[in-house]
Amino acid sequence: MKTAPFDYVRADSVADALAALGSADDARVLAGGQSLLPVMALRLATPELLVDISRCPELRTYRREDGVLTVGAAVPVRTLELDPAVGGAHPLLVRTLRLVAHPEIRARGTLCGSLAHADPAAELPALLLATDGEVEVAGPDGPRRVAAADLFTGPFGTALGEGELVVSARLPLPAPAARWAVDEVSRRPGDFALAGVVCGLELDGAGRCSSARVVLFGVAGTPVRAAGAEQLLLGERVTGAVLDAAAAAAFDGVEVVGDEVHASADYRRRAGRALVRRALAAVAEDRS
Amino acid sequence: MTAARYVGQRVRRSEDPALLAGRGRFVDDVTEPRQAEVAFVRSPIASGRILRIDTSAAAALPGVLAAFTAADLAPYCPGWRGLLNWPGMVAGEQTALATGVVRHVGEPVVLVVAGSRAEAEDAAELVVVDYEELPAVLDPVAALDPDSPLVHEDLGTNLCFTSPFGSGDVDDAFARADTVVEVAVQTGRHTAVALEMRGVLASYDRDEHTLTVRVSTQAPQMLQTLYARLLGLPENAVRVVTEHVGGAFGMKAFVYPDEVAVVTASLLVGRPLKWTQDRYESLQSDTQARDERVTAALAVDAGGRVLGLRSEVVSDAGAYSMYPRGCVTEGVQVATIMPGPYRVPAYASSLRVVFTNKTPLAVYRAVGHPPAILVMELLMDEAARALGLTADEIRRRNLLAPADLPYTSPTGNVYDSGSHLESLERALALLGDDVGDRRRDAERRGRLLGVGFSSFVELSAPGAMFYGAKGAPITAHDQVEVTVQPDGSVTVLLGTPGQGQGLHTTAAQVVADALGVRLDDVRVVSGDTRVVPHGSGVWASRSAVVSVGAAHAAATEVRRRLLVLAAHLFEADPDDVELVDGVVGVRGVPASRTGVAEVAAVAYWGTHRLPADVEVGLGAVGSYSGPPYTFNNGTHVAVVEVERATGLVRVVDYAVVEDCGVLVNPDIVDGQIRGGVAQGLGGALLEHVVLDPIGQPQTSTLLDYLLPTAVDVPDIRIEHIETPAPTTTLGTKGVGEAGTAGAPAAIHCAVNDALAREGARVWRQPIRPEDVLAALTAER
Amino acid sequence: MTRDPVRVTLRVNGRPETGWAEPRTTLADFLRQELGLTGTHVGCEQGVCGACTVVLDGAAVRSCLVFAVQADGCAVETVEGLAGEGAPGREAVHPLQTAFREASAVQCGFCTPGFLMTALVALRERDDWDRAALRERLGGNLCRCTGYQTVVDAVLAAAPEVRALEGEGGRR
Repeated sequence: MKTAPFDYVRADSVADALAALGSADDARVLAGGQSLLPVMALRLATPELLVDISRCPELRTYRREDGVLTVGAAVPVRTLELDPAVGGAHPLLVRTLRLVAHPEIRARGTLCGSLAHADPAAELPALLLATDGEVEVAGPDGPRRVAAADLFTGPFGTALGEGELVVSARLPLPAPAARWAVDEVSRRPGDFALAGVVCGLELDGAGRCSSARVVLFGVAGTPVRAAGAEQLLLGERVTGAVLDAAAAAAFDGVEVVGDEVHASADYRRRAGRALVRRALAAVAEDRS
Repeated sequence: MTAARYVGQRVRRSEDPALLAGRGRFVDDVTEPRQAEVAFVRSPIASGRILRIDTSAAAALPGVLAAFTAADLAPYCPGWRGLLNWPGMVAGEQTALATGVVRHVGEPVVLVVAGSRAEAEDAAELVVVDYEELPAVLDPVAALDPDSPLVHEDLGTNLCFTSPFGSGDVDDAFARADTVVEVAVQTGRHTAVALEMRGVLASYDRDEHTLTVRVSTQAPQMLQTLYARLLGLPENAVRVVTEHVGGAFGMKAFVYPDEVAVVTASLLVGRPLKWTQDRYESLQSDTQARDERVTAALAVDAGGRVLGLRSEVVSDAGAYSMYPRGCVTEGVQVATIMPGPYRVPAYASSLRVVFTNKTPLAVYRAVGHPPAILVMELLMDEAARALGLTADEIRRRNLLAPADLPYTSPTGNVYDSGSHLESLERALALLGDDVGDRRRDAERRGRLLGVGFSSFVELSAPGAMFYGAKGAPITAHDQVEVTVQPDGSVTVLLGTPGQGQGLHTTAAQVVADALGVRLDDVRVVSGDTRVVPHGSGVWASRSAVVSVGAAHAAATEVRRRLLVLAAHLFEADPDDVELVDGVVGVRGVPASRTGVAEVAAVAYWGTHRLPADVEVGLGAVGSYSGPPYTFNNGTHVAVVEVERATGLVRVVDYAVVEDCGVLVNPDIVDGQIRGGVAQGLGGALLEHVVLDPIGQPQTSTLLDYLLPTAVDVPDIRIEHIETPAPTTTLGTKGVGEAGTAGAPAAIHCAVNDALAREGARVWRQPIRPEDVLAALTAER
Repeated sequence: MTRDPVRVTLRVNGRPETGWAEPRTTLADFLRQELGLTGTHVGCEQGVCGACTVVLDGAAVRSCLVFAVQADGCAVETVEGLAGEGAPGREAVHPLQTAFREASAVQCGFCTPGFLMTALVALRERDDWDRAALRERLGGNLCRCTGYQTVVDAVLAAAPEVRALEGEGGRR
């Protein structure tokens, strides 16, 4: 199928982009286009106007500053993945990126685009949530920051308002003491996850867990914190029994969504628990 | 015939340079002047009556040339029924565009013509079709209930065809059995997914009254005949052109309503019309396959020897019997192939083929073999477990040995040659003796390792009785024309085109050997019905038997004539003239040696030197109509790892022992086997057309319909046994589908071998991780 | 702002090429229909099959998931540019093309251009691929005919020569 007709404008600056976004009722931002074009090619999305931000100079940069990696909205994730400096500063990011689709998709796809698209099975929204990241948003009412915890409102839904644009993602770099893992279950490499997890632990001098973060993706309408698991880990030594208990509780209170094609809710829950157990073990043993 | 110089060699393919340069000529690569493009409005529902169609808004859109409904095309193209002479078979009428009723999601309803495909789609969105939605028939078993809604009201039934198969006293066999094992198996609906989607470029010349159709098909002459019949044109006015075909696998061997609609519309619009299918359309309208429900039981004696076999097969035909092969072949082959390479003294099967409101089911690579072989191999393993035998031992006790051949199966199939038992032993050797170590290693990594065998026979190169005798315009024969040009170069016109297998290369090898010329001097042409002699197309693994037979016949005749001519020039006896590597000479007289070119030049430009009784020119058409069929055979062995935590299955090792008789080009044969195994792996583990409870496809993109990737398919080790077919020209047997035939069973048996260690099994394909996990948990 | 066709200029296989494209025209359709470079194939229009893979400013991308207007001014490498210059029939065949033929990595050939372009970039990234890693690297390209094994063989076999060729700056 061919995309329905649309108006196209190439923005040279964020200001340009905002003006263009405000000029049409149904305008969409085009960055890498790797999520948007497939939907448009099925005519499931038929925007009136596409505002191409992929060449905005101010959005094509990324920088590390004050313990935060800030990534502009026009930076393809493959660029981050292949940059040794990024790999050194944020190895978890690179490990996560390698789970996203295939290199040819990552060569165009952007971090901010994935966050704005908010696919519940996508890896990057979960990473943002797990690491307490946020997005910088520009819009008709001025710039603002939205924390990951507030950004994802439902399947393909975000807290972004009319005419707003994600200009960058802010990823806090993992603390030196923290250990992280990312893992997922998928039928084939590169497919969306049937269940996925990003988890991180910090241990104090006595070997007790001083900070725990377990975020699930591909199992609910948004990436979701496994509060049950986190609570069981806090303050504990990460023994096998504790990890077992944490994994068993990982889906407590999580409203798991299944589908007929890829996997049922029951499967996602069961495979997800095993996945959480495996990921926590990797973190606890720091094999990551 | 001279000694084989090229047959048997791993000759590089002549097809490759153009394809590697990006200069293939697939249908969509060709553009005609003033070409317009087509998009379809297709049924969004599985079953319904069409109440009203309004094309006015679409027709009014700038750039739109036409919008046709069934009523517009009906005066020019009647409907047809995919009926074959199977006793009692019924089939509903199919038309180019849906007439009054829609019977599956994706059925074409309106054809829109515009300057570009994008514009045609814009217009298609403006077409309004009002439907009265009807309850969809989706379960083939429930469809047989007298109260079920009917897919075709006029047939009065959803039962397309029913028949018993088999012979021998089965009741007695089961009464005498020491052990009886039973299975209930379901294989998932799947589809071919040729990477090149279907496409048509149709041009009608109003002055010459000729129709030219460029189409991605396996059978150009069949389409030539059927287009002519449907449109009332003489066959000599219909030219079908097929150059490169990007995969077909049985799916492109039919008369598709959408393609017929485009061809018909080209008569009305007066401009060349192109329709290139998109993937969304492909997953809704390409023929589907493998939707089989089988219950079966095996009776064995205390030594594990088979006494009898029973099966009941329900085949979900979908909405139409696609012309001309129909929807019955798959089910028939599930029932008749099932006894396989084993001594089965008594067998009784019942088959029911049932219409439902789904995309039509038809033939797809290895037609019916995968479910048939799967069921038999699962039964073998269950019997082995019941008796405490190993999987290889129970097969060893039942596989046909050389002394058993020729063997007539309980469904009447004659296996004239083969290496049924030997293939198992060779496969075991390929597997190696370290399975125990591999199991322990896998267990350490949280995985259950399983080994599965699949011993099979595969029916290939079927003869005249297969379809032709049942009334379809499909024959067993092929024709090939071989011409030595005046300069000694050789032109081969194949009646049958390739679809990617390397048929040009294979034919050139055979012709070069039979004629006695160098391979480089042979050029092969196919796929233009205005140029090539008649052929029946590429299907049922027939080319290496039938096309090769015809090519050999033609080349042999041309060689004979060339030697007669040379003998005249040399003033020698034709029996004393030899032709090797393109050099002709009198045996034992080196000075007489001369190039084929010198002789050929006389045949055309020097005919004044020839007596009246020597034929002018050096061309001949060879025909070949093979035996009723040839059966290849083989054994596959798959090693899988099942991840306990997730139920994910990975095929970690795979070996094939195949016996397809004489190999013309081992690389090409290996390619067929590996590609076939990959498709079988897809069916076993990944591929599934999923419908929701009202018949809406849920797998409309390749993100949902999962094909195996480079990561999913392991390296495949292949060994050949070459037992020549006693009845074919070169001793070849077909092989194009053998990989797909054997793989689903080997992989499934391997998964069950792994799961059986925990007391679990799975009985459905594709084997989803979720089914594995459920089985592991339920049985614990 | 426009939905009318606009002029798009690309540097294709080292030469400037100009054509018209509606904003909705994908790079794949632009290459095929406007420039007549039909070696780039379209197999799904969803970025899943990989048949349309081209090299855009050095990166292997899905040309069905890029609008032609987005690529305006960019350098594109397609399968047609793999072979070097030469008289008809005497073009310098690219080592990948040679290796694919030698390894029997082509059957119907529809996926082949996409594999060649993916492989080209993979070998530019590194030339020391092991089989498993290379299988994963090629995992975004679907083939329905070969079962992939010979494709992997071909890419591994071509690695040294491609590396040498690229060291000379390639044939772009």
